[in-house]
Amino acid sequence: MNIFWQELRFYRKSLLIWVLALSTTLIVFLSSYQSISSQIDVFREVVSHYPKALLLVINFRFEIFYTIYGYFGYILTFIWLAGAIQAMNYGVSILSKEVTDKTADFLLSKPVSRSRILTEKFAAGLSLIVITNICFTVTALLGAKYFSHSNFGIKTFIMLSATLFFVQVFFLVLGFLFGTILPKIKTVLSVALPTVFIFFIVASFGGILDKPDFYYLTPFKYFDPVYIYQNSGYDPKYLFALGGFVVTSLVLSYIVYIRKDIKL
Amino acid sequence: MNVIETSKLSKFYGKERGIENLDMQVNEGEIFGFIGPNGAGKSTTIRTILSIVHPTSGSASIFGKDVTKYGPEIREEIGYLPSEIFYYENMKAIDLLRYSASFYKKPKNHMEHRIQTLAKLLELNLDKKIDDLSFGNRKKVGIIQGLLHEPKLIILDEPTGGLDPLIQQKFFNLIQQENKRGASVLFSSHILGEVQRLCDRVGIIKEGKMIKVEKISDLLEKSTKRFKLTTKGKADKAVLLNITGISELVYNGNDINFLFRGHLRDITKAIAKLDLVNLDVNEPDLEEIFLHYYR
Repeated sequence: MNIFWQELRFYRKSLLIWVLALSTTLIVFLSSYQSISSQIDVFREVVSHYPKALLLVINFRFEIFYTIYGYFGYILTFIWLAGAIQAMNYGVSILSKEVTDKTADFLLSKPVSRSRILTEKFAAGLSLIVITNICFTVTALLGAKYFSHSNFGIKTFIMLSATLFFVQVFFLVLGFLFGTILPKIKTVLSVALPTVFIFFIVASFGGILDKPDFYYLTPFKYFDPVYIYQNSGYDPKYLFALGGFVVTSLVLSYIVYIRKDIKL
Repeated sequence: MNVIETSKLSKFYGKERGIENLDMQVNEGEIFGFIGPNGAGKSTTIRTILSIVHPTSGSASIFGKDVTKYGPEIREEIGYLPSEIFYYENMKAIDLLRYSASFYKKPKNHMEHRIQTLAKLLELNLDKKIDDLSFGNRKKVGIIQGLLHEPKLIILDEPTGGLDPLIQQKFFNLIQQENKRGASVLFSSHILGEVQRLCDRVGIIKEGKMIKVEKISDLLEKSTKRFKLTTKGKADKAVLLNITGISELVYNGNDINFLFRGHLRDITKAIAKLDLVNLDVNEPDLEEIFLHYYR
């Protein structure tokens, strides 16, 4: 477990910054809920002039927007985007930094198997995501309680909040796969940012073109706040898609990494 | 028993040659020098037997166990100093060394004690961040990292770069101590001198192939030396005329330049007849060894 703990130590500062950034963003958004919901007619008027494409891109769902769930769901689009970058960053860097920092020879000459390295590193990445989400959910609950001035279903709210976790797991696993397959990654952000945005753009186009088949391709479309609100659950077909992707990618990561030549 | 044994070991990176059909045996308890110019395949050999890269063909075993099957088990007893210095960002030397120790099964307090002793010996400040250490000091961290668990096999890949002569001497003593304790050593270098000082046998690698394995004593006896003489006035060319072992003889004014391979007694006897102003005898560099010794 030593690699696991060491990785957590390496990332504690980054984790703290991300948690603070996500929580602050959330609080800032939530704090304007009161003023928006009290002037809902004005807001409706303004939004009706927005181009439909824009509303789709920002995942704006008017049906429930004026409720705390809907408003939170709307904020989540932006949180997902940021969280995806965080997760992808962790996934890519946790393996590739050993090569860029030339520490791979150090690590691989120790009495550890490749699969143990991979398992402990993945566990570390996943823990970082879990910690992020615990902090985020607690902030969300406290924030909503404070700013909404009305009762809300905690279960639905937590289910909405947990979508961040699923989106992050997707990108963590994807980053991990990139870290094993790509031979040398000079800067992690140059891989993470474009990838996340490509998935975001695919999601937007899927929405604009009204092509639900596209939705399978991108986790940004797996979790529709309206669906979660109405069904008190996630859409199973997308959960399967996510699960399938995670399992496939992880298996592929192990196969590649165990056989990989680590170059200087 | 051979501590390291490779059989027709080959490693290609795509079409690029790393090593080709390399056979090597390192005996238990010896210090084996592994010498060759940069790019000859020394690091590739080492990284292959450590399973950092996988062989294209052939096999390698350490302690009699196949390296691809028993990697982790074998590496428990290996100490490795990579040629490239490494550092984890924002880590103190002591943190890195404790992290390194955490991989081994040996008693923790024993390894901690080793870390402190070795750091004292090599004059390394353990509380400094590795980022802030000089090249030579980082190398010291690498050395301690490779020795703290008292391995049975020590693999050193160009270990002396960046070390000042004093520390280098301490390092050599350390390696000899470890060797006396029973550790076998694979010492890779492109400097013949340091290999000569330390090793029992030496393997010469050229373009990915082991071209010669020789005892140091034999090598020294047969080794080529470069002579540079300056005489007072014009030298008598007859003096060096019929001595076997001289090559590349060049007269340049009062300077005489040549390579000599053979018994030193023969050549010193001859040049004693010259009226010398200056005499310079050097180890030839590796290129010269390759050119003249293995023609």
